[in-house]
Amino acid sequence: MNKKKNNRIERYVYDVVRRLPESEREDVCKELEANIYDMLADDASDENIKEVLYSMGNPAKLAEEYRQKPKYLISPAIYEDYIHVMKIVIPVVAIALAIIGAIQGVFQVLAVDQQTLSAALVFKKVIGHAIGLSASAVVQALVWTTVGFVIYERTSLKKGEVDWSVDDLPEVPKEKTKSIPLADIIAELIIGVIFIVAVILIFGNYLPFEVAIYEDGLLQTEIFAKSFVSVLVPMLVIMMAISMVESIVKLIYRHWNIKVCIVSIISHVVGLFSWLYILGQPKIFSNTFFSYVAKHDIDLNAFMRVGNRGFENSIILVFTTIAIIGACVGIAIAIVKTYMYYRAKNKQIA
Amino acid sequence: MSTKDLLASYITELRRGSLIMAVLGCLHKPQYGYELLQTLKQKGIEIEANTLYPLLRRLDKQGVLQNEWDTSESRPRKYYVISSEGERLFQELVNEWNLMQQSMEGIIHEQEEK
Repeated sequence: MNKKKNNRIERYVYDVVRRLPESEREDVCKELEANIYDMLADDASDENIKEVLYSMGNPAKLAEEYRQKPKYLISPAIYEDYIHVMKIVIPVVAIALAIIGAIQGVFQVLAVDQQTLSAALVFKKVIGHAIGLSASAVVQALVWTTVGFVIYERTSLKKGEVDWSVDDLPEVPKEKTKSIPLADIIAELIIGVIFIVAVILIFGNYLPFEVAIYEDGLLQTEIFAKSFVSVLVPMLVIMMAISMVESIVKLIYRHWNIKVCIVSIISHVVGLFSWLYILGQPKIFSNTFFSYVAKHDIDLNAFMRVGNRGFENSIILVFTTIAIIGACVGIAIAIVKTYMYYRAKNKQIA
Repeated sequence: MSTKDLLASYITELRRGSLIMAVLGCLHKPQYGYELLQTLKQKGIEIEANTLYPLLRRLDKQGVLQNEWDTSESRPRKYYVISSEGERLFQELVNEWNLMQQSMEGIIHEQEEK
């Protein structure tokens, strides 16, 4: 009896403070709990507790009172998740797109007549492309992440306004069974979307940055073989789509369990085989690219010598190694986290 | 909206403005949340617990109140008391209240004389 009473109040208080900024949770929790216990009658029957909790009203509304009236674009309740997501998404997007931009810059430099080549030009092309692409991608990521959070909050706020019942209060999560941080999942989703969009835009020639070499505005050569691109793009999209399914499953359960583990392993295995299939393509670079490079006498590197498959082989080797290691690490993490979750859970029951 | 509802909403509005004064006035001696709720009720001020508790926290954050946790009892309680800044604010509000009351009385009496 006594235990049940504690549980109800605990759940109510938890349902309020979980909507507050992290920094305030502990203090409000202690204070609110003390106040509610003060409000109980001496016998503190279950009926009495229900009555007091109903007099305190809907937890969502009470949290709103605590959070203060002014409407924020991103309210403190989810502000920390928002910042956390930004901290992951922005650097990843910035660095990834900077690298892509720099590579494009390098190809443009290669296209320039060797005689007119100057350090300043190289610098301008490479750094310019890297910064330009990176900056525009960061702006996009900022905007869309914010839009996503605003929509999430507006829709979840409405839910809080409907009638509530003390019987529907969420359980207070046990600290020992760690949940998957919401911010991590959302970051995964956002990066997935951006990646898919970027792949489609770049290879579909919707962006001014094409995977090709131009000289004075004239197309000299495409870098990749057409057959390769037609395999690469759908495979990349499938891979990202599966990893997004994984994120959504994580979002549903919010902690590692058998289902999340299986989906995660499937995602990694599919990813690995997709990469192996992609890299197993008979031709990666276009013929014209090789002849272009040969014509301009660009010595890519001693071991990447053009003309035979040495260049291709070394790229295949590097990517295959990365894909295999990545898949193994991913699967290992999934299994370990799932194991740890069930172990913690069993300990609690015991 | 019926006249009854309208009246209810006007009364709520009327009370809301004076609530902070009532809270500040009662907190010249330290009190914890539920204790203050009882004090206010005794003095005929109607306020819901779910309005008072967040309000106390807000006033504390604004520096109008000060708080202190008392952990000597079996159940820890957070006591609030008016700060010196809150005291100044309270006096200003009382002045304003008196002025308003004078004006209101003027208006109401005028009405009655007619």
